[in-house]
Amino acid sequence: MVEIKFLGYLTDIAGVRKKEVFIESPKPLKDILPPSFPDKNIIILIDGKPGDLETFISPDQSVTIMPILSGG
Amino acid sequence: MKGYAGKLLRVNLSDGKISKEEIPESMEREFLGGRGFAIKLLWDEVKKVDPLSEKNKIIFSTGPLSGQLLPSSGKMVIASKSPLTGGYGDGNIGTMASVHLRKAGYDVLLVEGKSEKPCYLFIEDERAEILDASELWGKNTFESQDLLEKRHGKNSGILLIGPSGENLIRISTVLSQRGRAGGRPGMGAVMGSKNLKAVVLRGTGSIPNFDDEKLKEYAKKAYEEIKGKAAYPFWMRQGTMQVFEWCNENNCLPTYNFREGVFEFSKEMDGYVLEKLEVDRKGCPMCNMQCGHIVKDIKGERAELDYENVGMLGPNLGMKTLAEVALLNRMADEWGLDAISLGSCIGFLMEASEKGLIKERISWGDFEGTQRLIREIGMGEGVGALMTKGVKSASEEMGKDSHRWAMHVKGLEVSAYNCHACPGMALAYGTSPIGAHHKDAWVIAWEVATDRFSYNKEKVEKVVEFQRIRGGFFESATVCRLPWVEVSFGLDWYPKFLEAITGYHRDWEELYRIGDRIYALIRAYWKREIPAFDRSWDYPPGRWFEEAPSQGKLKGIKVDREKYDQMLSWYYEIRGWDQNGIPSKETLNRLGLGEVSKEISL
Repeated sequence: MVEIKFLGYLTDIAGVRKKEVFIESPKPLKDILPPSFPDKNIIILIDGKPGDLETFISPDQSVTIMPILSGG
Repeated sequence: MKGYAGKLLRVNLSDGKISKEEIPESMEREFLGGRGFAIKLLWDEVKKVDPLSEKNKIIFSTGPLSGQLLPSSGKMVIASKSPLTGGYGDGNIGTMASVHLRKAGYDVLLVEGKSEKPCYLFIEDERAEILDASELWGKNTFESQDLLEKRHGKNSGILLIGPSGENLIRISTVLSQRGRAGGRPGMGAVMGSKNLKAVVLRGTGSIPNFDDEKLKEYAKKAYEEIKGKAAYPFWMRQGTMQVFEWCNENNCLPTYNFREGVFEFSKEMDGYVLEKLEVDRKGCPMCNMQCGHIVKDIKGERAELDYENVGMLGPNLGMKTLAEVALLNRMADEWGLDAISLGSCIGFLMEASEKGLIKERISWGDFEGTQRLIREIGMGEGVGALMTKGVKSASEEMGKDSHRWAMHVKGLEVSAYNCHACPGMALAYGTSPIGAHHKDAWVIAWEVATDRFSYNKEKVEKVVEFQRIRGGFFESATVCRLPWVEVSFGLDWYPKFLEAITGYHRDWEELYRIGDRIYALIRAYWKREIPAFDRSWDYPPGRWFEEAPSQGKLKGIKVDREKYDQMLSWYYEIRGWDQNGIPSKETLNRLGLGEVSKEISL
């Protein structure tokens, strides 16, 4: 099970703040996200380390996707 | 040049003389406006003076984009020699005063001297008067705003100070419209030192632009573009408060005087809680991205919240609910205290109490005690007297190694980002032109997205790039930076706006050069005013090097001092400054500031 957490406006696109996705084998992250998901100005952390939409995700990993912001 | 009024209004409060002066076109070309105008005027006119003496001057400055019918343009810069830091100080504020100053036919209002009695300025187009403020003196900023609106009409631009500014508390700021604030490095105290309670502006004219039709066409498209962005609906719901969850997730939330980067009560005060509590929203003039969220505080009063204030008065003090934080924030606004510095000062006192360094008992999360402290700080009484000059001065007075956890750079308290595991952001704070504020370069997102633990040259280049865009262009143009990153509004719009306004095309390369010129002059100002100024002033607080957080995913991580030092050296090299952070003679010459080098003995 892959746990995916969304922050900021990406929750609007994903429709949830957090979800779990069942995959049997590693897949590129983009394959388990909605097709309309933005590919720019986002931060992707996979088990806390920077990744991108092409990064292969294993079933036991956790992903956090958040927008680039500029502070308060 | 078109797009500028080309006029400065000078008011001398000592002799009551009011005069209009031409702003040379060369100044418009070389310094753009806003912060650029402010440092040029301070360099020329405010030299080696006590910041709270009548010899200091306070500058209210706009740029060619200010007050225009353009996205988020209702901004102005308030600048002076800072009584908090002793160097260059400024802050921007979103206010109707920006629009009215421009429409009254001025780009800049400069106030000098000192009034014998409390006064305020009333400026309506050609008319300018110094009026009696005895009725306003001692009143908080909300009451004063009400009184001035009653007297001069709601359609006025009003800038004012609260009792803390009157009491010369050096973390006092300037307020407008019941909750808009600007001028963190003690601009409110400078007004107080002049017995200047408020400035009321009314302008009925128009700004002489090069091509109004083109500007209207751009504006319509730009506003539409912003509203159509995918991030826009969420921004409208949470605004800057979305940063709260973001920072907690990334372990950079200021918690317990920056000891920790995560907060156990974060879910009680993040942007989703704000959404539930919100009763109203407000923003700056010309803005379709209103960021002021009004909630009812714990006593049912309206309070305007944004991330910085919540971060510093919430987790930094261990408060447990957003409604409590809202009340503390409203108190800060009423007193005219900068909420960021106030949160840092109170966090410092809580830690001092915990360590037994002061007699007063004030524990983390003590809501009643914090309200008492705000009153004491605003009055400069009781234990609050220790904080009248901010945490740097308080730690010098307290001794016992408290300077290690006095969270400031150059005397200005650190805003709401904990940098134990963000060395790039630590550098951004270290090299900010006014002290530890984030407005010039918020590089955290970029370093989290790439490699937050590295200390490479690319990261340093990013800090410089952001400073050129944010501190150089946005602070001088003078418009809000938020549309750019928060909803991905294109930077390529701004040269187009400038061309329609002024008739001159300036690309980003030239705008960067203007930003570099402005910053070089600011650094020279620090050096001239503080001869001991050197690279040691560009270091973040000791806590980030010496103590790692004990909670969260990034516990145990701190900034490496030697590697920070290397980044600072690279930073100076990129800037063309010497290894003490002073612009070299060659750099000053290249930027057209050759005359400056004589005054700083290069």
